[in-house]
Amino acid sequence: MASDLPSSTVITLFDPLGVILAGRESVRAAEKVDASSKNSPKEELRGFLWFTVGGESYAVEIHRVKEVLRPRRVTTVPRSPEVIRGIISHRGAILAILDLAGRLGVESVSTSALQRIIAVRMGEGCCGLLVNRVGRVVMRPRSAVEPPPRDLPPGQYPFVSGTIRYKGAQLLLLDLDKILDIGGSST
Amino acid sequence: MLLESFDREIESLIDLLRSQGEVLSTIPSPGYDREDGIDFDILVGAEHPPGLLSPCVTCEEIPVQRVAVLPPSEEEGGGSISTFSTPPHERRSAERSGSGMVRVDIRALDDLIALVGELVAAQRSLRYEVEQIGAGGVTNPVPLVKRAERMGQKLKELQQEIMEIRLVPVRTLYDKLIRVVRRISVDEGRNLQLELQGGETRLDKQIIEDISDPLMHLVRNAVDHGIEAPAERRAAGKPETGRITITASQKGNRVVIEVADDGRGIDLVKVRRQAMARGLLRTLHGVTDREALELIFEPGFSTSDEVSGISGRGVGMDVVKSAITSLSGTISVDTEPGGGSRIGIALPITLAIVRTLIIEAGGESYGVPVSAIQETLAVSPEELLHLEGNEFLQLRELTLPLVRLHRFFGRNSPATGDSFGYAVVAVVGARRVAILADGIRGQHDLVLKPLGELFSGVRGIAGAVELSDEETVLVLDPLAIMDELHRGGDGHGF
Repeated sequence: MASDLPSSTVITLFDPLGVILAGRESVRAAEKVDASSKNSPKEELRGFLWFTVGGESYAVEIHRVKEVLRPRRVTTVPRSPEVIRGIISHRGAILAILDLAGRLGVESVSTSALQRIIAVRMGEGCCGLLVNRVGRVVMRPRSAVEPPPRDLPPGQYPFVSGTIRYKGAQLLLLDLDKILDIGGSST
Repeated sequence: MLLESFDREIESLIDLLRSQGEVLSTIPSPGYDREDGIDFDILVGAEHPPGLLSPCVTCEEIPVQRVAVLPPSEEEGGGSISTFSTPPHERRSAERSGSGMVRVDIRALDDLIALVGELVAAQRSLRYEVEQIGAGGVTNPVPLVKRAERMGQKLKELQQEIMEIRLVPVRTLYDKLIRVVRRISVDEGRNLQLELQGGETRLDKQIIEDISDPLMHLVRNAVDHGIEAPAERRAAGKPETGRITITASQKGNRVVIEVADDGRGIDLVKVRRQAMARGLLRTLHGVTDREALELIFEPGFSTSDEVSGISGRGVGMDVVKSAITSLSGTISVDTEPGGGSRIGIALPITLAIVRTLIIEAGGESYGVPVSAIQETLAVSPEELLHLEGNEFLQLRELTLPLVRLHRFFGRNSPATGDSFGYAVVAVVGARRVAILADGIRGQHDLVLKPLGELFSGVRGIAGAVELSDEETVLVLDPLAIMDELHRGGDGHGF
């Protein structure tokens, strides 16, 4: 039927934006093929920052850590979740300070000179984790990460994604996304 | 200069492509590799096979990165469509785009550099004075204080100049409005005239971006609900061409933008009736015209479904109002039956720096935006009224709801008890609240920072300011506090 119409009367619904976006997709797809062809067989070492909370040793992946700060005066925020100690200003931004002991359900060791705030990346911004002391950075290949131990306290199960060994000690690797998923509002 | 060549390059490329086919669209694309350039995707419809098209583009000086050819679809009758990406080397700086970028005059940057130079010098002499004191022997603090003051002065200038850079002329909004009105008059066959004044008035880039849609909405409303049909206008003795006037002007530290039309005005009888029908009013009696006019900003108020077509101006006005309020702005409306309506928006020039009054209440410090403060006065406990368990402050003829911050926020009572000495009267629109304070610490120009997503459920606090290295202070959100009091909030719920 359509072929009977003279071509000059054919009205096309043309969407330039759609065409361009489709063009971009195809270019990207081509680039992806390029990138995946070079594979790296050698396993890279990954860094983990070791720290303690309530006498227990934990670690987070170093690429999530922005910096380690000395504790300073925290401004408490009313109506905020209990595990949030408050806020500090740091490098022109507001940093929420999370009481990691409270989050993990462990007894917090009393404040000492060794107490530190680990500033970790969270989405676009940052969040500070209050810890009892910061140890060193441990380098391990990905394959060295073992599954979490079975005898974890129940409160910690959701937050521990694995363990790594360091000098006979066991460091519990924390899943930061779950730790920081406080749900935006308090109860 | 950089920008000029960037404009020229894209222009010459388009001219070139135009000779080969039809340039359908150019859109900036997310830069693929380069930080210092911008990619454009150019969509060309051409009769040639793409093999012929691309050499004539690449032979130019403009680096064309990719020529992707989309398969010709049947409707396009065998023509081919190509997209090009070009990475001009210039940094992108377009004040007009909605991309969160600002175009900066190089002289403004030079001024900033000069100021930073002065600050470095000021810091050096401050350091010298401190060293003198450290070395002993110098006990006169005056030179030190002088240097510190000088440095503070320079910092203030720096703050001011940086804020200036964020300001862009309102004209950038006008271009968009002209297009919209032109489209409406063509599409709907309306006779419209748009008059724009005060385009040189400057406003924070962020605010400009955020009021673009509300302003568009107001213009749309003026056309749809304000301006009458030509026959009706003729009958009323008005020129057939409807006129919309937008005026921007600076008044103190606020910018006022007015959208006025010479249409039929808002029919307040209809507004009242509509408000009754929607349960916003219980009775028609005793509702003043001004009160009735305010009803158009109520959520759920709309006259758009009226069959008569003679509707007031209420479509989504609550949305416009909340957009303006979230920018710390206020909105007002005036109307004259048969003569038109006028909507006024008053906005702060910038939200980047907020003049903040620091108060002490219940053992904590809080900031209150000065723009929301009507007055600060000393009060004594005898001046408070107690009604049905709530406290009020009698201020001249007004009875204001009263807030004790530690109770409002459900914080522990301070060791000092409920002592207080001041009331800060905050005003937003026509609403007021008195906030009790133990002390007033003074005013500062500060950068208001959001608390972040972890605190998204915390109402009553607009953000925080950094007062010193060791002190971060929460800034109150008076409107949210009023809302909660209005709802009879218990101080704990959200």
